[in-house]
Amino acid sequence: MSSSYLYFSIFLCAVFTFLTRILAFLVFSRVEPNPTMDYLKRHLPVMIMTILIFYALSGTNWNQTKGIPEILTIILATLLHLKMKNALISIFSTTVFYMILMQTIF
Amino acid sequence: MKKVFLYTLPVLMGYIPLGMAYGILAVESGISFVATVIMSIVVFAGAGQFLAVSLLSAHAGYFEIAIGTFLINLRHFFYGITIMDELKDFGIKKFYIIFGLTDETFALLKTWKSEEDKEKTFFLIALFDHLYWIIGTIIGATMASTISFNSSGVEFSLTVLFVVLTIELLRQQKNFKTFFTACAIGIFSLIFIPAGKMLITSLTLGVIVMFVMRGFVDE
Repeated sequence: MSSSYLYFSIFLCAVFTFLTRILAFLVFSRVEPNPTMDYLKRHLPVMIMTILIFYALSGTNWNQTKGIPEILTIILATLLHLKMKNALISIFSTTVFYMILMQTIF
Repeated sequence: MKKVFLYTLPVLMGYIPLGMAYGILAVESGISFVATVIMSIVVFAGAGQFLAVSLLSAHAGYFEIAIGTFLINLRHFFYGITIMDELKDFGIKKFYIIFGLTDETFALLKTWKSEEDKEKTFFLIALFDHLYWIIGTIIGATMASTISFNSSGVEFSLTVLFVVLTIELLRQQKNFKTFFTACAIGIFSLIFIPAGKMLITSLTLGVIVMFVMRGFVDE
């Protein structure tokens, strides 16, 4: 990738990340609870994060894997995280699990 | 200073390994060492940076990068709402604290009890967390640049990261209707939308559905 593309993209990431963090301070002069905002606060994060799981899967070569290592790893990550409640352990161990599956079996 | 450092230790334990994971993933995805570290300095967002790596290696367009970054970090907008009152009398340091308002920094600020020297304390908490993230990134990026190993499959860390974050959200708020609706949108997009357009399409669809189905989802 060209360095102008790379650095302009990083610039955009920086600007839009900062925007989400300062937005509340720009939009509200004072905190006013309202039902729509409350609804979005409760539901939008789950909507976005769940969709991102599927986005992250969009690079999968389905012909090669048939989805088997992906589904196995997601099940393992879910069980592990429900049991241990430690995000780092869940992420690291299941990524290694997936890498081993991909490099040995698939 | 020492008290603040001890208070941020749990974040250190989390940010060093996660920053390392980001650093390894970024360098293995073809992003230069310098750009990988710069991103941790100027962006400072966990999931957001993992997403950025994925978008960059897929050569996504600027529009997609901007919208993707905005939406994945939109939860910080809600953090802002709940903490703005506490920051309102702060001086210039306020802007750095807002810049550093990650999930973990937010959690630390919200649970800090003492009112004494609050502006300086908040600033230091944000600064320490930022430094841990940068140090973790440098360690990971250095490892990936010097040790060569078969990294195929490492990109799956993005998927499991989102799985874990989704479980965390569902644990706080048991809104399974939203979750299953999002799954339906995700599967639909995975099958019918070309990979390059998938993120924007499914997120837009998700936000529209949120409004259309409010009566069904919200109760």
